[in-house]
Amino acid sequence: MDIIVDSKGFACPMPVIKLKKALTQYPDKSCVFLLALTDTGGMKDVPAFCRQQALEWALQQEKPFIEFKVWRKSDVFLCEGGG
Amino acid sequence: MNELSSEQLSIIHTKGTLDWAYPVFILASTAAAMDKKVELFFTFYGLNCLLKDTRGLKVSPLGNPGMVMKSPVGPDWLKKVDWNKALPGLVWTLPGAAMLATWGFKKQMLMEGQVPVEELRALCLELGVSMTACQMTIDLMGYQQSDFIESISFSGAATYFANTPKTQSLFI
Repeated sequence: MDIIVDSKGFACPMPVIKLKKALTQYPDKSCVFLLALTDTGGMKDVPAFCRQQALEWALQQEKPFIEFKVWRKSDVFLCEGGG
Repeated sequence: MNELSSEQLSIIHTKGTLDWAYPVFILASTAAAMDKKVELFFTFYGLNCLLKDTRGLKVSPLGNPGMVMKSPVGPDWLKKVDWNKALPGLVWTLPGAAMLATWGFKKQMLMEGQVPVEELRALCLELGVSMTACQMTIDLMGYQQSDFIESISFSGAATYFANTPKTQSLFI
């Protein structure tokens, strides 16, 4: 299930806070979070947050706004990725 | 031990102005979102940040040379002027100057995508940040516990240190 997390127009720390709240609200492993933001600091902060929280992430686009796809590491994925 | 302490953050906050309230709540909410245990201890003028009525949280360029003071309204050339550098410090002693500076600061923060400080404070509590008001300074300054927001605790320095024995602390 895709969860849209719209943080456009908000500055630090709101993108990370909104993402965290969405993660808490949707604990299911199959959820994929699409985080939209305009705060350029998020380019580094969102990946750092994901690293620390053991989440997978991918930068989808930078313009006209930044969008990250974030999802939880699944055991299957780890097996495949780790060979 | 290091691993444990990296999962905790504590801030001792002593400043009673709006500009200093922001970094504390921003750091605290972010750390809490990253699952750190966060303890905030408010003492002396920092108590202002926990009052129900936040109108006392102001900002002034007076004696604050680092503050950038730009107009949030008007034509572009006007918005670029840093009034704290352009005007002599004496100007900020005039009646209404702090009110004007506070109005400008709040407007600028909202335009830059910040949320009002009360909202950020509520978010911190929602994320599990623990806030303590120093009882000694509450008595010293003549506040009542009922002047403060709900969900905070009241105690002294010993309780604070007993609760945060291995925590990384910032004194702000």
